[in-house]
Amino acid sequence: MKNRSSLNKPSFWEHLLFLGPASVIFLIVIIIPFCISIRYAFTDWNGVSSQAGFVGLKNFADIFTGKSDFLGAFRFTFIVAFFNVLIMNALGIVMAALLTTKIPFQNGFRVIFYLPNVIGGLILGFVWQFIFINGVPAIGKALHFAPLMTPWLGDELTAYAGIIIVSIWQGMGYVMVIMIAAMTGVSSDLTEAARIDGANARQIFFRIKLPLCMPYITLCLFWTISQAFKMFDLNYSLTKGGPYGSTVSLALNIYNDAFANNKYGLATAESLVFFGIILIITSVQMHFSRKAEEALNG
Amino acid sequence: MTTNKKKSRIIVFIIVLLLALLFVYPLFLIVLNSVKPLAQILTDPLGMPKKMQMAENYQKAFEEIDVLRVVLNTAVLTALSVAGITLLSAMTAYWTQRYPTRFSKLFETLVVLSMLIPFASLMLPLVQVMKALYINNTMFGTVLTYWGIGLAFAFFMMQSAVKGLPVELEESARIDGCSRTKVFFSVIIPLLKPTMVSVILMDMFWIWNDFIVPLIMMNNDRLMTIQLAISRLFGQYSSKWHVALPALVMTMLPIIIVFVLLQKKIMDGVIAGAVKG
Repeated sequence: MKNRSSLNKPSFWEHLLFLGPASVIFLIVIIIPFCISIRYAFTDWNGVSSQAGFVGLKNFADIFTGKSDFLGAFRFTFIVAFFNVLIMNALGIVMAALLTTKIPFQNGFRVIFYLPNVIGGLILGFVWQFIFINGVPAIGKALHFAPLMTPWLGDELTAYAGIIIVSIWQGMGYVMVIMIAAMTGVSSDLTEAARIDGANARQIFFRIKLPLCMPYITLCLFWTISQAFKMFDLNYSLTKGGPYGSTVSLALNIYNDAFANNKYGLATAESLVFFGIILIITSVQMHFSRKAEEALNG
Repeated sequence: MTTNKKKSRIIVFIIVLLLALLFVYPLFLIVLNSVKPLAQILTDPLGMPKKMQMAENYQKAFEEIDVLRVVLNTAVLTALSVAGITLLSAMTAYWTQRYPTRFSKLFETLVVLSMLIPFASLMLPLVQVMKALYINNTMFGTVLTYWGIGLAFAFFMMQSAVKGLPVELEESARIDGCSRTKVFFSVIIPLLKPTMVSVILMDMFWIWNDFIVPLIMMNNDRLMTIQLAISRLFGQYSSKWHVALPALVMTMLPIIIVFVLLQKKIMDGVIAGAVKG
């Protein structure tokens, strides 16, 4: 009898063993810091002194009126996210379509295109720093093509382009791998039936394959958006936020304000607004992926 | 019809091949220039090396960033973090699924919600907390950080794996007299192995390549990771490419080798993670 009851109800110690360590870690790393940051967001603490004055909503007012660099960082991040989403997904889908045509060495190509994704953003930033400083001008000279001969990272517009190029180079493989999985998952019965009904390759691709891959496309869209919004390593190493702070991402801006500009209170307020932005993106994502799923099942 | 098909397949192959070459060209340039003397790197970055200076360049870079130590540090940090994340996520995902209580429901909700918090929103006060616990700038504090921020995603993956496990197996083990802890370690863990492999592979690449967490949590020369060492090297040696480029090659090499060896498993894990996340 005793055996039976112990089958259904674990003891306190068993609960403690399984959930205790994780709960403590979670409390230390996530919950307490999050609560502290809410408190500091309303102060003018500089990160070092023992005193932190309560300033009410001043930090948030500074953020939204453009007195801090947050809006500039948001503009940069938004532009990068916009181009990344368009180009990375389009390229990824095209590459997936090309690689699923039963060409030889499919697997080898998949490895090559995914490769930049496993190298960290910091190292890739330094790799491309060399390419943009020395490689690109040399190529420009060899081709007699003037736009390639300028120092790309020294000008705002081309520095933007540089960061977008590198992040697409890094992330395209991810979209491609997901889309290859999606496309090979489309039942060959369906495409075969369409072929028998007289559909050509293009019709099969646009009318059958792509619509069926919609949930995966949604997934990739939001992955690319959130990757762009969380950018830190890449612009830290590639441009250091320059020229003139034009390529500072949201995360790098928080880091700079806290550790370089000694505006700890402001930085925590910025980090809360940053959290709000990510929250909105994720909520929209959940809404859309649920809709996509319903459409697929319904 | 078939010759047409063959032709179009060859054209596609050539297009893809050209794109692949273009894709790896930047990495090729890095390797190519890493064996040249500085003068030629600056004047002729595209040409073949006129004078091989591989030994000198690589030796200088090797000493400059203390490659063995930083690789070892990164490996230890990654191994401890990944092991902890995997174990903690398996335990909590299993327990909250099998023995739900009011507390476990709260735990589950908070962990899943924490996936929404970007690290940049936690990093500033986290340093304060670690200071208060006297573990700031230590390996342990950094590992603890990864356990905390890595838990949510791994928990999510484990949870969907646990949902698919048959309860009958555990029940018969329990009737045979196994304790709950024993059931977990000898029945559940083997069943969760495929998911654990996915979690390990994904988190391994994340932590190995991560820069922001060590930058903030581990300001300690003895514990320097690959990413920190490279970042410092570029601060000091910007435009001394004959040292910086070999350093880049040496630090990229381990991760590329691991990726090529485990590529099938890694990409399966990426797909599984994307679909469940």
